[in-house]
Amino acid sequence: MNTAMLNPKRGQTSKWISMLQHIKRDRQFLLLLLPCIAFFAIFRYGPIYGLIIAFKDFSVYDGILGSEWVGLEHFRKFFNSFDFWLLFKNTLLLGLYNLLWSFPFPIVFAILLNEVRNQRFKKSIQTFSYLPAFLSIVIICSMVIDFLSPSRGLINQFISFLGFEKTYFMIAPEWFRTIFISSDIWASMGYEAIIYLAAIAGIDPTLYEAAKVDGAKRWHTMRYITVPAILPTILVMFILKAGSMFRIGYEKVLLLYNPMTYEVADVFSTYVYRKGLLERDYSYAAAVGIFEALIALIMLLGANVLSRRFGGKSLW
Amino acid sequence: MLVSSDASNLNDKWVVKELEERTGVKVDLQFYSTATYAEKLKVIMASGDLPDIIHGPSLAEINELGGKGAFAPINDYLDQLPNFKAMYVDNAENNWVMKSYSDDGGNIYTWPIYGLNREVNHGFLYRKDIFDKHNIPLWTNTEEFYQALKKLKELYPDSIPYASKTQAWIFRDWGYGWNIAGYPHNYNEDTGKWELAFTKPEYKEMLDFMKKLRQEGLLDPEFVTDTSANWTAKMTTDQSFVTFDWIGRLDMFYNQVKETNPEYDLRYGNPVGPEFKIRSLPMISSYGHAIAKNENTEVSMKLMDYLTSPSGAELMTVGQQGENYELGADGKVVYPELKDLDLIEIKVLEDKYGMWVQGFYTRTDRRSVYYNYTEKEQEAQDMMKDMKLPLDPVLKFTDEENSTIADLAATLQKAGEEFSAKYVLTDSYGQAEWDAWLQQAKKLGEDDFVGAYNAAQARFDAE
Repeated sequence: MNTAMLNPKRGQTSKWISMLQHIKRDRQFLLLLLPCIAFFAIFRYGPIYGLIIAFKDFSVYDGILGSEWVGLEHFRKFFNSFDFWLLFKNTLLLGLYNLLWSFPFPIVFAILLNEVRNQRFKKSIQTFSYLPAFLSIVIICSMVIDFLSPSRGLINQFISFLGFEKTYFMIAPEWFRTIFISSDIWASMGYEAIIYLAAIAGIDPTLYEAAKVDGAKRWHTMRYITVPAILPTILVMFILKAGSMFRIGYEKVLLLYNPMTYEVADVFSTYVYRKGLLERDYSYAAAVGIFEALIALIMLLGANVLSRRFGGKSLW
Repeated sequence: MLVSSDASNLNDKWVVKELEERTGVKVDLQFYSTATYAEKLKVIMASGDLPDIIHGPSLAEINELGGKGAFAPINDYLDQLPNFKAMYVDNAENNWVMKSYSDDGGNIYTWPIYGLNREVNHGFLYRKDIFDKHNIPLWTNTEEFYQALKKLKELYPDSIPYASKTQAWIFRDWGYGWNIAGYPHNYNEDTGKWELAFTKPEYKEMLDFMKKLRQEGLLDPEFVTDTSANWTAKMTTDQSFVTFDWIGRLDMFYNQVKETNPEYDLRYGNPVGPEFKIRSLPMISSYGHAIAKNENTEVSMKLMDYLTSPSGAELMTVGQQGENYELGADGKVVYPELKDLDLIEIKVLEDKYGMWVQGFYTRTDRRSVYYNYTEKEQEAQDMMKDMKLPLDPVLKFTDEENSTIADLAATLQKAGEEFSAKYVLTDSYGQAEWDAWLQQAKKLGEDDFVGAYNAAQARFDAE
């Protein structure tokens, strides 16, 4: 019989000892982890304390701790505000469409790219595809506006060359989401495909060879080998993407919207930008930001549960 | 002292050394690039450790923080500040500053800037070479403006005569001609009351005029989205001939195209609108200068006072005669050390000497190169001499009014711009939509917003 079970106290001490032994054994790894922990503590968890200004009437001079508590007033004001439902709808739709459209593109792209046999052609396509990811968002947006311009834009010149009426895309509310999302796909597809290409590269080549011997066509190997093999990667990426679905960067919306498209383009983050930076209502903006983050958290948890239930895989 | 500058080694520049020699004050400049200054200022203010002199915050912010004891009231030091006193207290023309810039308690925390603005700046610009070629006279009223655009459209069917790149600001820029001196709030000289610009009948007339131009292909519908590059291309390649922009563009565009089109001649035009007026620019403005309350306050005050003297203005924006500048035969300032340069602009003076550093001067000297107009600019100054709308009164608000305005201004402005753009660009928009907009503006808080201004105006008039 194990002596530790007879004497629980002794068992605990031996646990401690074994932990210390582990630490001693892995000390180099743990040392490597330290900067990472410090980074998160300082830059990710530290600033969380600033969120309390959402429950205060923040004044720069009084500081975060010195400002007066106002409870949930800013939240109440936000939920009752004129803009709330419009912002909610716009953020939700833009996020949802983004998830629906821009999520599958890199996967399909990676799988198709994998089927290309000519290595040189494959490499050059891949390089071209991730180039836009290195352009700043300001440049991307001006390119989009210039391309779509009715007077000088490439796309409209092409449309009129085909004999159709030119369309002034940028002022048409019904086009805004399409433009926003397709430009996103264009800019990020190649970059995001890198992860899937890496996952595909990790598949054991003997699987393909065996399938070929059994008479599998390309379509079959794609469907029965490539896709199932990268499914875990897809699920993890999906969960992460769902979590950031509500986090629509304000820069891109600000750069692309105009008075004609406010009604479909205004989202939580642009609202926070206007309130917080332009009107200096920091507390109110922080309250809206918290609300946005809470929804993001719910989405992340939800996607995780769904993924566990249907794919058997989850982040935790 | 906190300033914004893209120059390097600012503390070693000639101006800083000369200033120390003259005043005995050793200035330590903390400088951040103009692009990040606003952000840095917020961080520094939030840290609670204020530099002796800063610039940047709005008047409302300064007064709020001043009331809490962060800044020193200038009025407490008046007997030690001869230049401030002469300029802003004893001078009947400028002493509104004490009334308008001060807070509820009558304390003034912000140090104004004197004489910064050129007299005439933004305005309508037109291609004189094209106008002359086809004998189109420069318009002298709105109808002639319309006829000129129409004629241009006939002559150049593929063009859109009027192009714009300032997006929704077009409504503000054109507004001056319709007696709307800024938005969203506007002071009505006839009634002595403040009103929302977006709901005035004159504003609707302006929108109707713009709509007519847009429908006839005279106003570029891309005015809400056009990028600078696109607009430049249009203005320099005979696709558009009239625009509204900064006066410096007259020479900039010419320099861009003179190789291929030496005839190119962009000139300052007349205003448009029944009022036939342009915006006037104030002699005195606030850059948000404020002096921290600490052991150095007195020295800081005296330094700022020196900068506000004529000799301080000369040092900070022209230099010192014999030391770094000479007067040329025409009486203009010449810099012997910079004689190899084609164009001496203020950035050059900043790099070389440390002059014109943003936040470092509180008065300018009119002899500075900044006020050297080119031929085209001088023409504009002369043309517009008597065409300026009067300036609106500068009001001071209570905390409550300030928060009402802060809550409503951006919302009203955004809604107003949204409606205006739709009105001009959508064919179906008409009287019914205008009436609905008047209702919506009320719902968005027009009355409270205007009310805050009028309450402040009533106190201002009573004083």
